Amino acid sequence: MAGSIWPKASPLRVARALKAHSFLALAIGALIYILAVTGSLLVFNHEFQRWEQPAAPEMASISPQAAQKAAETVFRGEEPLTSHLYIGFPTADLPRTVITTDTQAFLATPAGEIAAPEHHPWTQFVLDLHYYLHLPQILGLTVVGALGAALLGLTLSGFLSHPRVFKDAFTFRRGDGRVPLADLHNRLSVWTAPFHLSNALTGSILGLASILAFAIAAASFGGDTTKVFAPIFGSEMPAQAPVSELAEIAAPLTYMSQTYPDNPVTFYVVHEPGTGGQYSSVIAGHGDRLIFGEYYNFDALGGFQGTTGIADGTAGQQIAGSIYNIHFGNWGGLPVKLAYLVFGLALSMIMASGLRIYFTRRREKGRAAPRLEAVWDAVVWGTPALLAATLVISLLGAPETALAPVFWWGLVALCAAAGIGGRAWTGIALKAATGAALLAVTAIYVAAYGAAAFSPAGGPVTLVIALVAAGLLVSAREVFLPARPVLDQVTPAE
Amino acid sequence: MEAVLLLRAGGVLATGLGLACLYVAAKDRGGSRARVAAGWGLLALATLCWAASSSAERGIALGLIWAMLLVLAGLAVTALSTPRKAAARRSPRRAIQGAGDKTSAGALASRVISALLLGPIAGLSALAVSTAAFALADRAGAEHTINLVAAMFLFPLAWAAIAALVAMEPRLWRRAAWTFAAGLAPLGAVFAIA
Repeated sequence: MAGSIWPKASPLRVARALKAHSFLALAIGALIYILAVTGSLLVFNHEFQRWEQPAAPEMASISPQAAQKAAETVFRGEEPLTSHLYIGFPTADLPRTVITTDTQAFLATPAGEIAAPEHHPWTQFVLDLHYYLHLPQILGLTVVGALGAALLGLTLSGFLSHPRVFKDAFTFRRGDGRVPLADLHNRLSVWTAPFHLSNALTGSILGLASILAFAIAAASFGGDTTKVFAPIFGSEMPAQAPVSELAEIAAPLTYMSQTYPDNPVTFYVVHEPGTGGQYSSVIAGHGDRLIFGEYYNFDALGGFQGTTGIADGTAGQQIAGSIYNIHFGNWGGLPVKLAYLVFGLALSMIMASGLRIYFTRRREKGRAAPRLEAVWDAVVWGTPALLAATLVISLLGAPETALAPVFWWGLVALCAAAGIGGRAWTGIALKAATGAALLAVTAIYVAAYGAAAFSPAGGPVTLVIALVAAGLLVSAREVFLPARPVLDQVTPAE
Repeated sequence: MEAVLLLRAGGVLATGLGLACLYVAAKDRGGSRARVAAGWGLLALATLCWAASSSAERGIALGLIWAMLLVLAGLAVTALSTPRKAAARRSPRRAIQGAGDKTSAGALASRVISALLLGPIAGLSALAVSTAAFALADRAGAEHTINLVAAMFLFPLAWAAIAALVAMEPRLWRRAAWTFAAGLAPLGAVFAIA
């Protein structure tokens, strides 16, 4: 018989790597879990935006003249002048035209009239949670970027602490206890590694870019941060004295449709609108690439000035232009989004099962930590429960600013209650609560929006929420049974 | 269009066959270099098919997604077809005095210091590593955008490597020494050539 092809691992190194893996997971596991759950949801952030405002005007496309009319209407209402004016064009997953300034956003009709302010408070709350953890922007981005680096560290220590992880790559044992849980954790970790490595890396690159730019600028460009990213994304012109006319918008859009018909315009940016230095960048998609698009630049009169080079410039520009789409999964339509959802949920399960294995091992070694274990249950099931609860209060009219305090203070309260009350009830009760809250979401939404709840904007998400609610309530049905056998479960150390 | 579909079908087929080879090799506990090589070879072929079916980077990304989905589906089938066993009755060891939720003040302080070392201080060291790498390559005449992108990738990777490897070190003072050394060494190199 041939000898094993797998190299022998030092038991000491494995033990130390396992300790490092556990330490890192205990230190930041909860926050990474929250990012994994919110990231999985946000793959469908456009669908949630549509769902929160189902009666908004929708269109497959908008004419250049109508887009210019809508942009000018919003621009004339701005006081003081906005530094940038944006037009978001209809796409397959968000068939709406949105005019955005530094401070507000409006939905436009196909004729270029302003229909209503854009309003998706819950989606924005989840976006802010995932991007910033509701911290001030640069600090929040940096913390989230650091968590991405920590996830990379967890992956590295995980591979070092599991020498059989490739040898056992196809083993999956069913049943109760630690071994099936370890199989689930290890198999998902190995086989979805391309996803969570690339997502952790791109997420941390996006989050840490600001402080890296400060450091590089200080070391190489005399503190001028604009010189760091300008060669990749182009540079901004300084604002000049105000002028009466807004830069030409319809002409560049007409030029794009005639010259680049295969590159659909997704975004339009007027830089320093209404000033002497104003100019425009049109972002157009390249369907066969991972890049978010190419910048096509125009002067204030609509004359084409050239591209920035995201699609065909230097390798550095093309790689940098691909980071955003790789992270958010919006480069391959619904099939890729669904795959990202599956992998995101797998990452959530990896995090949840990893610490569950840790607590089970402690229990088996006679060093049970029932309170910490209960707190972990509260994080795992409290996160979706509180996301569902914030959706309920958002639909009932709570202001957007109320959602973050409800989520974070709610999580603190659940963790405290779980730590005091023990873990027997925590997971199953919070699972049932999530199901009940989602059922309430369905009922409130249908009551609030009537027929629009079943429109193409509202119907699919409503249906999925109702199905998830039903699944959770069925899987947590013990809570509603008279005997409540789950309450009799007591962990060995208790 | 037909060529693209053929290439993608070939990519899915080669991915499936490659994974099947690796599965058979994994089940053979003695190991099998030929099967493992065939498995990875077929996965490489699948990657080529996917890369040719679109732009290289998008094709490879699609191929990876297909491979992960195929494996997850295979694992689900394996899990469902495996008989469910009851958990082995392991009687927990007698509780160790002082174990569990309670932690001594010294141990807690050690953990807090370790967390600071592996978090912000390792982060600053990684920032020093990536900034120094950028500055050194810049002075050597490297093209700006690729140099910057390399630094953007290096920063989190260096942070992760420092955190994971230093966390494996059992002694606290050595953890501190390695973390600070990782940051000071590249800064020293930059000052030396400045």
